[in-house]
Amino acid sequence: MNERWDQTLPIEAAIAGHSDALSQVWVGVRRWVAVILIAHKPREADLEDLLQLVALQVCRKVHEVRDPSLFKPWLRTVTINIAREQGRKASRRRVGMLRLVGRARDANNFGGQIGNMQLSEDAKRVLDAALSLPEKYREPVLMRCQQSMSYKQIAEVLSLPETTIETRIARGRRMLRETIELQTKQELEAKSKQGIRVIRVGGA
Amino acid sequence: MNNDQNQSNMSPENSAHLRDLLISRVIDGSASPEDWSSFRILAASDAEVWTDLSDAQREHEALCEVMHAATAIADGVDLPGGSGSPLVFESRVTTASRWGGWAIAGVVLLGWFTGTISMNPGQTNTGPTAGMLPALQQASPDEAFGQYLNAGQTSGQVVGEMPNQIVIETLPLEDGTIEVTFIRQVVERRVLDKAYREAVDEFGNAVVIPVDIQLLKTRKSQ
Repeated sequence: MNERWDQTLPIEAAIAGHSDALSQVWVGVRRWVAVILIAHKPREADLEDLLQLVALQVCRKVHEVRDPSLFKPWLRTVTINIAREQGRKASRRRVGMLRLVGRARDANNFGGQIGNMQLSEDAKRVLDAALSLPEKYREPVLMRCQQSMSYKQIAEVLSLPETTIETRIARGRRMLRETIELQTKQELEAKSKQGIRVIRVGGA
Repeated sequence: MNNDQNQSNMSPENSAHLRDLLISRVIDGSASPEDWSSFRILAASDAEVWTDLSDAQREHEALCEVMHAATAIADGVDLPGGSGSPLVFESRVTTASRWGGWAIAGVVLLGWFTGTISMNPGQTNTGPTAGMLPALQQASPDEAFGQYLNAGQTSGQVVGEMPNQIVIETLPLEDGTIEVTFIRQVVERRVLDKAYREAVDEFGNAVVIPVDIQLLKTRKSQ
């Protein structure tokens, strides 16, 4: 149930103020919200904190949604706003505080993790490349990784035609491939240069 | 016109677009028999398309794995929980988690040393440091901090410690424990005969400017 984003969610009842329905809707969308947060938040901002802020905002404001069909785009807008504004504030505050207590290295070292999840080098490389994609490609590519989300469902959330979503995902994947290829090539070149230098030093 | 002829008549942009779409559809498992037919024709003239497909497939799987693990954290984030009341939820959020990680903030508050001075002036320290005080050099950090608070309150320099600690970071450690980095806030009071305020000059440089105490007094009395 956690990963499903389907038409059976009681969105209308949730908007009308039924707390059980709202909880059910939240359970159905929270992983999807997490994907949007990852696509838009500053790297160092804490995903769980931002999810809690989105949950709070859903509780506070869901009654303002006028039409159940607008719930998904509304939730996406709320999530993006929180990712950008609160994420920026939270990361500034956190970095500042870590510097204050002499942990500046930790403050700048978020590349290898999402939340508290340590990533392998390969996973980090793919994730870094995906997060470096232009925004309009990044979001649908990451959403497609949530297996329950079809092109149609992604199109509904992003308020775009399904064909546009398919094109963006296809191009995004090509860009991802090219980015990783380029990174691999640069790393190999760097290693090769280091090797040459070592041989010269050894021969001198 | 057959698929072969169609593809050979395409502009390079359209051809690249079709290539991207076909690879993407194969990865998603949504390629139709016509798509497969086009893919085979494409591969006959451009063998690299197989390498690209294999790379794209591997990257997609790696990304899905990472995203699946990363978003699993969302399963632990609920709406108002058992209370069912958004207001209760909101109040909990605004108090305990203003600085993030409310669950951990709760842990810190529960496990906190109980002998600290509160902001309530009538309340004194009744913790383990009251009575027999160890020498400062032999005192534990908590004991030394308690002594500082007691001495400060006696002299009037310390007003009290803020009840909420600010959680900056929580890190689970390999041994199953959690490292929490947080700030304890102490409110102090000083009596000064001179004061300065920070400002910026016309060139944007930070400068300090003496505060006119008489003027401050006049404003305060108004």
